[in-house]
Amino acid sequence: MTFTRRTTLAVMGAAALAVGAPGAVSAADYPSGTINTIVPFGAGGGTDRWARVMSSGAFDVFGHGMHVQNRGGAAGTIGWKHMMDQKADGHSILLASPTPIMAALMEKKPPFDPQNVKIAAYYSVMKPTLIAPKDSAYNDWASFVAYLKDDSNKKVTIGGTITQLLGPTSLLAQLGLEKRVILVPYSGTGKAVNDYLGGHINMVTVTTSTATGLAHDHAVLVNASSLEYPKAATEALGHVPNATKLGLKPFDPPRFVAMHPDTPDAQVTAMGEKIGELLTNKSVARLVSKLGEDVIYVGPAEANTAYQNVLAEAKKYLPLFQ
Amino acid sequence: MVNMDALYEAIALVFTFQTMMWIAIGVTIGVGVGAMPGLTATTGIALMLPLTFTLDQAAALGLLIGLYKGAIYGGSISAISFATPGTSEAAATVFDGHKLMRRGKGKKALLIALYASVTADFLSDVITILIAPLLALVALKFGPSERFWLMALAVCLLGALSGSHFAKGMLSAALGLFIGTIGADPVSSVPRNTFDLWWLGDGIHLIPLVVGIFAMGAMLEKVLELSTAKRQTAKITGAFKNLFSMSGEGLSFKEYLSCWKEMAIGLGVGTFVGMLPGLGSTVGAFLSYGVAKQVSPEKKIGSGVIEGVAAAEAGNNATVGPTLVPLLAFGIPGSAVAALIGAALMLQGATPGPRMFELFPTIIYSLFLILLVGNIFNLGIGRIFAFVYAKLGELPAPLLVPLVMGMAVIGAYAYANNPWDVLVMLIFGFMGLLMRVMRIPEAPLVITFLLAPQAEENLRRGLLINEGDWSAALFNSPLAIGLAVAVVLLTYVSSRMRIAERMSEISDEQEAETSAAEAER
Repeated sequence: MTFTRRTTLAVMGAAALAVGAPGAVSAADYPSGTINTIVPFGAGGGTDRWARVMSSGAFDVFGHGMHVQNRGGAAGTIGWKHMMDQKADGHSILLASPTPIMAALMEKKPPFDPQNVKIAAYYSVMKPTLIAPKDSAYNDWASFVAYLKDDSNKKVTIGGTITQLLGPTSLLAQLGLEKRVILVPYSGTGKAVNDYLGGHINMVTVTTSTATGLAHDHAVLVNASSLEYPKAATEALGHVPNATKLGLKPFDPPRFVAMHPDTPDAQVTAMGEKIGELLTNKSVARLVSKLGEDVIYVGPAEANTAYQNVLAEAKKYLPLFQ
Repeated sequence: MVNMDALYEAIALVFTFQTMMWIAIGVTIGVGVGAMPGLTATTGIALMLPLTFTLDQAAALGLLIGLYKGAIYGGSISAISFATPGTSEAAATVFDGHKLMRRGKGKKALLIALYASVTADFLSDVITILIAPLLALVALKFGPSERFWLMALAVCLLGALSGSHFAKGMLSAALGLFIGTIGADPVSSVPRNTFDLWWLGDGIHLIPLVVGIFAMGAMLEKVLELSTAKRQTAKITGAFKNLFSMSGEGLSFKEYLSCWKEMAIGLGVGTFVGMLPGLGSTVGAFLSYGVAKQVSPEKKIGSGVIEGVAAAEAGNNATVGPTLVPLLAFGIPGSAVAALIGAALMLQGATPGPRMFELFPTIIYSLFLILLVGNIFNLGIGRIFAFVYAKLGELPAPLLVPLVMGMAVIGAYAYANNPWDVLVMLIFGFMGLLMRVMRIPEAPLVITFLLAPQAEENLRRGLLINEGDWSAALFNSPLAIGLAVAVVLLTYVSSRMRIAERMSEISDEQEAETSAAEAER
């Protein structure tokens, strides 16, 4: 499944309308208390920042607060497991990124099955962006592909987090070129960018906000997702091709709200719609934009399908890192 | 070149009652957070981040920077008072700080910790302000190969931290090395040495390990002491009381100045470690402590001297300013705290990046001014807070021990709200007790636990980049070769020194035996 900003915004608008329509939400008194918001990472990371920004508008939308709990450890799997141990009453949600999914897929005995979960909504989708030096032999996508096709050239090293690296890896795999690059995984984007700027690796794959900071002096080759950059980022990054424009299958790593698999569907749907409303809250939207992030809202039905696609892609390409 | 208009504007923004008030609040919360085992500067800043949404630029930065500075110092209060490092970066302070406390010189230890922290913090801030872009360029020279050799160099300092029994030091280091390998491997994230326990998938966290080894280990030892020697308890309680009495031994200016060498080492090591992404203030503290011990063997650092406290505290606080260097120069957050401060800057409309000095000079100058002013607040508030917090020490030992044990349990849980961390902390508590009973030093365990995974990560990344070519992975630049040579030299010199020390000890023992035999005759 692919997203475009237009369609996701349309879904978002529809969700907001649905929330406003009388009787649209089956559980009118839902939620009836504080939303226990589990962040499966320590304080200070990207997901934690999203949670704190979203919680700042919770009272306006839910009529109750969001209690942000950091349950870090074991690459996010401890937080996920904690969510699975809560009552399926719709009052515990997990804000996550693909990291715990990757960790669970790499475990022989994973503490949970990443397939067995209900996705209330996507609140954003990352856009893995490939950066290279401007003076290199591969300073746009076409020259990069041509460079890799020529076997006499040396392999190219690409650094980034595993989630971000899966983006360009999936594109190159579709062209049969994944063996021509050396994937160098890092635990954080900062470390990868440091090694890239120091000339220790050839390329780096980063988030939109990091790419925006680097674009002035570096070439931006491709956005491995199906999405366009937000307007402000496009001004800095220029017109970078995304996977869909290149005719390739995109990789859209989501930031999503997950709920216990036994949660009643009506509550999952209602939560998804409330999340949509929360993201359109003026104060929340302003803060998200200031953080350099981009709201990409996808409601429950589409998000669950998209999530299964991400799982399938991750299963396919993770062995390349092992 | 300084943009004078922006500088005047920054001065007007920072030197307001509101900004000063928020810096004071930040430092106060920070010292409290730091002194509480398990609560880190990162946790404190993350909790305060939503509050900054409603504050103006200078007040928001004042709150966060104040909290950061306060928390890094705050860890030393409980480290000295109860041998319970409030934060992992204060673990190296325990060695000398707590011994001073037990000798009734806790006030002296707390004061040198504060003054060394503020001195090194202030000077490293000045260095950051003057040469941030240059420091950032130096940091970029350190790729996987160079970082590997840097870690190896640090591990070589183990010789200085292994105490009088080298073999026991090596055993401790080996334990740390093994514990460091538990969890997802640092490059491909495949779990290893996890005993098939899923909750070990991310490895052992530093906070439960440090709180367990130092705090719980020390308290378990005190439980043994309490059950065997009541007089000893009275002595310890007396030492705490002495801390607050008017006649308690303070710190003279001469004594403060006598630690200049250790503070300078802390400043240099902390500044360097702070600007490299991923190392952090705990490594800064241990390295500074190790270097100081190596450089000045005559000061007997480790036996309970103020120089040991000064080296450790200067080493961790000197990382505060430089940790922002990669963020300000390139927009790369080098640590979780830098990421949060970066987020706060973005929320205030200033995206960190290479053009930050050009685009947002007022915010940059405000940040610099707050970095400097924050030290003055840290000095004043830290001094009051240290003595107020340590009042807990007036409690009789039978109450103090369960209180600290309770703090250790809460702290281990509060770190990530993870009950497994409590179990891990308890396991390391018993391990810490065993190490104390068997006189195995703790420092080598902590430092190999911290550095070995990073050394492995960098070596494997170097090999990955160079397609398995070891010579290219290890010696790919003059800097890497220079560091490798330094490792060899340091190993040689420290081995010679250790052999000479041991020979001298043996000859002293023989002389003592001969004179005792003659006296008997």
